Parts: sequence; structure tokens; C-alpha cells
Amino acid sequence: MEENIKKNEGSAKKAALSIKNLNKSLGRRQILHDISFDAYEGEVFGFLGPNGAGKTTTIKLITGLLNIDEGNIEIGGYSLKKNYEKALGSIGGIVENPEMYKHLTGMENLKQYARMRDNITNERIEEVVKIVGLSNRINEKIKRYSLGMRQRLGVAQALLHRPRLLLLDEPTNGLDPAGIKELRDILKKLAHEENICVLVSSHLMSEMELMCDRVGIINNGKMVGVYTVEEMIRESSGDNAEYIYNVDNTEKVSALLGNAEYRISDENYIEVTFSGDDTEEKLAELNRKLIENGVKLYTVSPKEKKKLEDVFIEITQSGGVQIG
Amino acid sequence: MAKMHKLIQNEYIKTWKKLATKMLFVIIVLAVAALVVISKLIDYDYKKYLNEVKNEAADFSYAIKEAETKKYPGYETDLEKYEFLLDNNVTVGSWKIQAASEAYSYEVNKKSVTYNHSAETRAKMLQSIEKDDWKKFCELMVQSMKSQGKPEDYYWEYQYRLNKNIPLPDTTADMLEYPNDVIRSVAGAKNVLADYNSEEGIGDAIDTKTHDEMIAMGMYRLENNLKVNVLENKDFLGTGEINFWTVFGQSSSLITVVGVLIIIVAGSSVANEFSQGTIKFLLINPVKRWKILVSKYVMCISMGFLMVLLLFVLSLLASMIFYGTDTLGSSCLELKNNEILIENGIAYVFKNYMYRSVEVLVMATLAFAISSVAKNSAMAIGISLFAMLMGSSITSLLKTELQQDWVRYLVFANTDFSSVINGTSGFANHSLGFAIGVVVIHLVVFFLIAWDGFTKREI
Repeated sequence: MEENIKKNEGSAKKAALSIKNLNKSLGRRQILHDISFDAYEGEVFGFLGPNGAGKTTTIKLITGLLNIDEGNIEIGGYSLKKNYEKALGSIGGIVENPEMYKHLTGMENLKQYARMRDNITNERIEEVVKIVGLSNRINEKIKRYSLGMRQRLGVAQALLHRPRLLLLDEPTNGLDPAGIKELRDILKKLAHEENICVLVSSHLMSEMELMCDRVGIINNGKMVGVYTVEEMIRESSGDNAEYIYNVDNTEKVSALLGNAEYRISDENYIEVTFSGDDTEEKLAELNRKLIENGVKLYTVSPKEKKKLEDVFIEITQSGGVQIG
Repeated sequence: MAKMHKLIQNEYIKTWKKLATKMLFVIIVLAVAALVVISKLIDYDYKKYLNEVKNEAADFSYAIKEAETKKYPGYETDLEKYEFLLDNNVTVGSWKIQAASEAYSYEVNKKSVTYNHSAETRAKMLQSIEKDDWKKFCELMVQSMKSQGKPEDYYWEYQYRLNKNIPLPDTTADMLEYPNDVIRSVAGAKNVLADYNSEEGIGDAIDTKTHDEMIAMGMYRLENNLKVNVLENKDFLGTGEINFWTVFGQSSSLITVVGVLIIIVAGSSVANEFSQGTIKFLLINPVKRWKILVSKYVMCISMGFLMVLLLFVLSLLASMIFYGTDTLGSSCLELKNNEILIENGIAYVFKNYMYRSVEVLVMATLAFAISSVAKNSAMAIGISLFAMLMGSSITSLLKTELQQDWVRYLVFANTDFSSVINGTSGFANHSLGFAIGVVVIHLVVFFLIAWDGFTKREI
């Protein structure tokens, strides 16, 4: 973790959100222990943790819904404690469910939020409606909206005032796969093209993998670490490459393997593990040898990699692993 | 950052677009309609009664039976009188009944200063009845009283009617109409005072001040030809008659309805944001929480005021439509320290509206405070409604039945500014300044409770 922070400080990216030594208790229970991390403009930052880890509490602290016990939150350089209105002025967000005024239309809801923020023109409202793809249904009452539509309206509401930091708490909840993909594309576009910092919380690693540039993992109210998605993927694949050979004679194959590890799983199947660098070269070499030695090679397929989900579970359970 | 008026606009849109809020305004319209219907029912009854007695022959059968069976001293004279009245087809409420009493009662009540007319006068009085000549009767009364050296107060009415050429009433309806009603009350008060001041001391112990005031007020109205005194027609209880002013004045009691409605609005404005889950979206905006709270409070109170205004205008229009505009310019006359205070009638009713709104303001603020502390609209509405509907009854019970004077510090004992001004609040040394002070302190405390509950709350 230390290393990660150093690396990030080295880059020229500007922190849209900077959290330092955040502590929070609700009742007698301490929910957050010394949370610190930065999220930068132009990235989608995944805030990942199992249910009850403290994600929503952290987001509520950032949005001022909860009061900070200890520590400091800066948004776009403004301290939330000292400069509440300015700090909140550069945040847009959805906390928990996208609850809107059901008796108002989508447009009327957006106008409510527009009046509470500075300089929002009707053109801007139309623009965000277009961004989230609600133009056809914007004049319908919220009672008639599906959860997915409300989620999109929530995003529209959050984008109205061109925030530097967009906070979305479990935004894919209740969305169908198509909706999730659309949302993912919207968020990526916002981060990479409009240089917004998008912070997305989730308990699903698979979702984060496709959407995020970096992932901060929280467990039991403690920050486990912040990783780039590439780091996570490398961890999941490890340094070894495993392949499953479907052949007529597994005995012959094992004899030709040399020092590579293997496991005969079936009469016609053998799993081979190549270690070290140049695993692909080693694979090609073995294939050549097999054919030269008259082994009938039906198929070779890479063994499924360790899932990112499993890595996430490993990380949260072990309290953090050193990566990279 | 965000301008206050935009926040208030938001609150208005949110509240107004609810079907329930529109229903609240419909309820006000219905309340006014109900008031008109009730007034028409009372008016119908009253008119029916007047119509029934209009040409009804006076019925003396009970009095005749009484005289025949009891045979009290002078009963023969009374029987003669009844027979005479029956012969002349006298109607109920006619001046002739009184006139006949004057003519026949020479022996019955020696004590009465009025019954000492000469035989000649009495005969002429009977003639005037037979000829249906009220003027003659008045002249006879004035002459007879003068000749007996009686104080002018005893025959003022007759002299006045002669001077102004105002006939004595011939029916009950006549009797109750202006100016007969005013003349009657002035004459009555003058008689009582004259009895009280007479050397014989035949009058009962009375509050001379009240009678003096009655006379002064009546004379003022007669001199200025003021058909209606709004003060005496301010509600259905004032007079039997229903007119523009009784309906319009009575409408101020409907402010209790506005109270119920605005307690519902104030009790839900904060709590509903919590129950709908919209509070999070409201508070993540770059607006300080106290500004949101103030905008909600301003919305509730101003909407309550709008409801009161709507009630006022609707009641005014309804009263005009159903009871005419003839007396629209009438004034409210009030005697204070021997001076007649004249106030425009509509202004007087509006002032009553404002006085009655004080309690509504306090209770709406209470509902608002509970709503933002407890996040529960049912509780806020329930407690505030109970306080509004029962508070003053419980306070007056504690005061009158249990002699608990400390209840003067309760807000309920101080919201009725008009009774404090009139000195009818039931508490000694109850000044308007004290009442305003107690009310303001309660408002401030309620609002601070709401403030504390809302701005420090963790969502």
C-alpha cells in the first residue's frame, strides 16, 4: 500500500478526492478505522469491499451526510469541514438507492436539483438527460420508472453541475446486463474524456474489473490496499501458465515433459504447468516434440485462470497481499 | 450559494404537486361551502319562525285560564284586557299588547311608576288601539308621563318615535328589525336606569356602566343610522338573524380547519424526505442544511398564511353572493372607556382572522419541530393536532377547576390575543406584551429544536 501511494504521488495526476486518516463510529461500533486514499481526476476508482465493510459509510462521510469523527476529507482541494458548500459543489453522487420524488416527473426532479446548484441552464439539463439516455421518458412521473431508469436519472442528477468527483454507491444494483454495460461505458467516457474522477463502490470484483482503472479494497472498516486492475489481473494469473492436453497417450507425454510439472487427470487428459519466463515458447516446444514423437494431439487449451473474484476474496480474507 | 428563494420554490413545487396538498385546498373550499349551508339552514328556520308569527293572532287562552283559576287580585281587569285585545285581532309582537297593559293596569301594580294614567288617558289609549293609531298612543304616553312629573327616560321611546316618525312595531319581525331593535334596547336600558335612580328605589341592583354604554352605543347608531354593528353580528351566536356579517364573521372559526391542514403540511415536510429516502439527495447538494430547513419552514408558514387568505377571500365572496352587499360598508362599533371606537367591518374580521392564526402558527411550528427531530410525520401531526384541539380546554380546566395560576405561562393561555386585549382571558394582569412574549419564546424554542435536530443529524 505504501508503495502504491508513493507511485501515485509520483504521477502528475490531480487528486479529486483525498481522504486522510478517517475514523467513524456509529453508536458504540467503530465502522471506519484510519481510512486513507486518494482518487484522481480522469480515472474510474473502484471502491471494493464485502457488504458491511464500510463503503457506504465512507461515501456518506464524503457527501456530508455523516459527520467526520476524526481525519480529513478534501474534495477538489476544499476541506469538507472548513468549506462545506464549496467542497460539496464539486461532488455529484448517488448514495444507496436512487430515491427521487415519485410524484414529480424526471424533468421536475432534475429541476429541483438544478435550482440547488449554481448556473445550470436548461440546455445542460437536456444534455445530461441525453447522456444517460432518458430523453424519451423524462416527462413521465418517477412512479412509472423502473429501477434502471431511476438509476440513470440518479446519474443525470449527479452530473448536472459538472462535478469533478462523481460518487456512485453500488450503481449497477438492479440493472440488467445491457444496462450495466451502458452505465459502464458512460462512466468510462466521463472519466477518460471529461477528466472526471468517478468513484464507484461495489462488492463485485468482476464488475470492477471491466469498469475501473484502480481499485481500493476495504474490509472490516480498514483499507486493505489500492491496486491498479492490471496488478490484480497479474496476481490472478500468477507467473505460471497451465494447459490441458487432450492426447491419445498421456504416458508418452509425461516422459517428454522434462522438468515441467504435470498431473494426469484422466486417461486422455494431462495438465501441464510451465513456470518461469517464455511460457509460450515452452508450450510451442512441447507441442513440436509431441507431434515429432507421434503423439496424437487432439486439443490444447489453457487452464482457466484464477478468477479475480477469488483474488479479491483472498485479499480481503488475508488482510492484504503484496503485489508487484 | 444557492439562493434562498430557489430553495423555497423547490419546497413549494414538491408540496404543491402532491395530490394530497391540492385536496387540502379543496377542503378549505368545502369548509366555506359547509358554513354557507349551515347558515342557510339557520336562516331558513329563523325566517320560518318570523313568518309563522307574522300574522299570527295573539293567543291569550293560557293567560285567561290562569286568571280564571287563580283569581289573583285584579284578575277581572286582566280578563277585560284580554277580551279587548281579542276583539281587536291583535297579532303577536304588536305594540297594542303593551298599550293595552298601560290602559288596563291601573290597579294591578301600584308599585310601577308607569301605570298611573288618568281614567281619561286610559280611555283614549283604548281608542288609539281600536283606531290602530300608534302616534296617538305615543302622544298620550308622553303627555301622561309629563303630567305626572316622571323622568324623561320613561317616555323617551315614545317621544323619539314621534320626533322621527318611526311607527311602533306591529309584528315580531318588525320588532327585531332596525331601528326598532336598537330603540328597544336603548329604551329598556333607560327604563332600568330610571327605576334604579328613582326615589322609590324600585330598581334592582344593576351595573349602571353597562346600561350607560348600551344607551350610548344605541344612540350613536340611531343618530348615524347604522343598521348593523359588526360587533353584534360577528357570529351565529350574536343575533338570531343571519346576515352577511354573521356568516363572514363566523368564517374566522374555520381557521381551526386551516390549522389542521397546515399541521399536516408542516408535520410531513421534513419527515417525508426521510420516509421517501430523498433526504440523501437533498443533502448532498452544495447547500448548508440550515438553509434547507429554513426554506421548508418558510414554505409551511407562508402556505398556512395563503390558506388563511384563501379562506378569508372565499368567505367574503360566499357571504356577498348569498347574503348581499347592502351592509358591506358597516363598521364595528365598540365602547371603550366611554368612547366609541369605529373600525371598518372587513378590517375587524381580518383582525380576528389574524388573532386566531396565532395558535395555528404555534402549532404548525410545533409540528415542524417534531417532524424534523423524530422523522415521523404521524407523530408530529398527532401530537400537534392534540395540542391544538385540546390545549386550550385543558389549560382553562386547570385554571378554573384547579386554580393553577402557573398555566398562564403555557402557550395555550396566550395564543388568544383578542381575549387578552379584552381582558377576558381569565388571568389577572394578563397583558398583551406578556402573551406575545410567551408565544415568541415558544416559537423560538420550537424552531431551535428543529434546527438542532436537522442540522446535526446523521443520515
